[in-house]
Amino acid sequence: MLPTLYSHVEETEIFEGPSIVVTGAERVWLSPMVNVEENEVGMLAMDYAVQAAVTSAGEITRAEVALVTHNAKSNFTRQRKIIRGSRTWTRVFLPVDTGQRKIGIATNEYFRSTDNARVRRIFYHRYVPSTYVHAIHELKPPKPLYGLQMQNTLEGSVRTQRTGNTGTEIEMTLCFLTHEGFNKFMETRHDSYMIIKCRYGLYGGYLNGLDSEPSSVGASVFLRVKMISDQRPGAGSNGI
Amino acid sequence: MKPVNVELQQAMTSAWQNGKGFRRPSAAVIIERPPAATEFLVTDAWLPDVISIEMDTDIESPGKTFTIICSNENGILSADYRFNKYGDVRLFHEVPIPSPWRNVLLPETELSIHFGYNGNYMRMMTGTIDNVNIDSQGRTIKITGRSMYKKALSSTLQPKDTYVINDKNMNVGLAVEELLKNVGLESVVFDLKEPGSKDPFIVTKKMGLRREHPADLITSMVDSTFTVLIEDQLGVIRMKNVPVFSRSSKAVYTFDDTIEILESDFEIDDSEIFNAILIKCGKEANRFKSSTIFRNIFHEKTYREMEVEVPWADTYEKRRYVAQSLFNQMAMRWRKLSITVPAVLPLELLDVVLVRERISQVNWNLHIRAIKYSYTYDGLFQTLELADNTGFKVSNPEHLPPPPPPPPSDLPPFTVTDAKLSIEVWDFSVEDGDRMNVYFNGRRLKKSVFIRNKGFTLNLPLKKGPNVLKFVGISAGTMSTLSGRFRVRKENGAILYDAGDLPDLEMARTNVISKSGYYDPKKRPSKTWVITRV
Repeated sequence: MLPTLYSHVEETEIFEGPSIVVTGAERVWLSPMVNVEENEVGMLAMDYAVQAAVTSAGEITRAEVALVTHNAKSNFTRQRKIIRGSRTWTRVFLPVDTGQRKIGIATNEYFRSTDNARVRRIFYHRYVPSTYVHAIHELKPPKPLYGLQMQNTLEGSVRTQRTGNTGTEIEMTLCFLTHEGFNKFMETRHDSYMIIKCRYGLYGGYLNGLDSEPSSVGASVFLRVKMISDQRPGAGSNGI
Repeated sequence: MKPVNVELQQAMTSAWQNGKGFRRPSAAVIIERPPAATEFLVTDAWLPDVISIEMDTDIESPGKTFTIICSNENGILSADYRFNKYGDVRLFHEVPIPSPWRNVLLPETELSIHFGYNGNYMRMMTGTIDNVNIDSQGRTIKITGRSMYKKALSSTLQPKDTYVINDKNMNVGLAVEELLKNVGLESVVFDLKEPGSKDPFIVTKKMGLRREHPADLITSMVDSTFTVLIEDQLGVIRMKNVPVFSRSSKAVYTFDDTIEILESDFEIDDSEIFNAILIKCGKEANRFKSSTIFRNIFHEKTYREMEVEVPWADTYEKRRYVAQSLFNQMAMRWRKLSITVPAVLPLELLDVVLVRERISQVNWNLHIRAIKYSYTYDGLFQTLELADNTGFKVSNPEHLPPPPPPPPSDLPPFTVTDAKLSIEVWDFSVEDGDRMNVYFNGRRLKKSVFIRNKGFTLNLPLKKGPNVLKFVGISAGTMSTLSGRFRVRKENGAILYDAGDLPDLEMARTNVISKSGYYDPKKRPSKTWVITRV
């Protein structure tokens, strides 16, 4: 599979709330369906809020909501993010692959009957292959962003703690045949949300401008970039 | 130490706190919706984009402090955020959104901090925001604040009359509760009593004027007792007895330099140590000394004395109790150890822990005086301020003159171990108008009391050593002598000496100046009775 970088073309609002969509344990709510065309990918942005009470002792309960995407063809609902506890309006961006897709919310068994989740607005963003990028070269497999912080105890044994996030860094070189293509890309696309589809999965995120390394050979321009995504390496849009 | 579940216990004690779905450090800050936050929707919500959390708690004051730093891209967390204030503020593409965090992160907004290892959180603190600092270059927002005890420190009292505490005889424990209640704080206290005699500690004066802070009054009262105030994770102020410190007391956790101690700092300091304390209560005062401090810490080369005014310490025992409490506090300042370890969340102040560290050669029990938590990208750690788990005793006075011998007892003296006794006195013959005054340790208990057949009861709080009960005859009555009979009971009602076990009270009919049997006021007969408490 050729790696392809997709950039944004338009957005459509597919749901307008605010409304309580889920109340109580083990419920699933799914949005209206969107059709992601062949040779395109999509991104669903959803505003959600969760009301989950703390226990009488003031402790956080195990109530969690899963933000899910649904594939109508295979009739499969996949967990994409787990949210624990109460949240006020928060926007989540979930890239999705070609096909008929829905976004939604599912509650776990610890959700109480008075706990609920709400959705305000959902937008569908269409992404098409970036016309300025001629090819992607030297694509590195996704690199995890979490850290294993190592601490030495006084007498020399190891303590470690895992910190950081579950996201991914993907390094690649974008090839532009002409400097015009490069200029257009940098002017209109470089600092917006993008999606890459490659054999390692589908990842959405931003290019880190500070870490980019432009160069040119003859008329061609090369841009070594790092994309930061909040999808987990190896999983991409296929899981948490 | 608070109870924990097995998962959290395993996560805390593991050298590898790094699983994806378990054992990794985590933190949650839950913000309560303030009334002005119209867009907030939910009653409470997790604070997003937290970069670091620091939290300090200390035995010196129940108040805890915290600092939270969050990423604040686009100013979404700013309290003055307004939709479209600077054109279309966009979170993404063409979608302008109003922020639910408008009017939320402001002083007095309530929040709670929870630390944990992955899914197992423990609530650590409830507090309110003091200060919000927005750094535009770094695009961060810094929130600092204090726990609920802040109300006692910064709010002023609102008495209904002139004083909040109008009852001079109120127990110090209850007074603390009243003062805290006046500023809206919940507390759990107990009646403070002197050990042994169980005399209550009373406030002795009206207190709590308008514009006074309750914390100022509370600190001076509580510091001189064997109790401390500790705020729990829900913001309730709890009074706790300071445990009896000893190296052999049981440790709830062991810190070892080969397992978890990352930093260690040991200090021995005598700058705040005194070997003598003068405790004053009005015109009365006593000097107490610790020969242990004088000999072992000052090597008999330095003499340091401090003076403390304690209004409620109206007896020698209470003043001794204050001195003991202050010497104990010095013991805590004498040897101090500070260690940094991966956070052990259930540890509480005053918990006893065992520390084994090779360089400082510490290998004994210490108790926790302060805990500083730090949650950053580097991990979740705590710094524990520990003090030696030992106390200094008040020495028995060496050079004081020997106590005066007790007066000779007219009635048979006896010795008890009880702190309280009650003695019933009645007339076993005709009620003919026998009257007497009763004095106990110099204080008059009864004035011209009529000795009837039914009798009366004397309740005697005994101090250690000889106690003198004195009967002074007022009237021998119309017939024969002044007479009475006794029955002595313990505090629980058990009879110690029944009627007839002791000789009767008899005062001769001499120097009587009237028919009704009144004695000449200058020549009243008296009988003393010495009761010794050991």
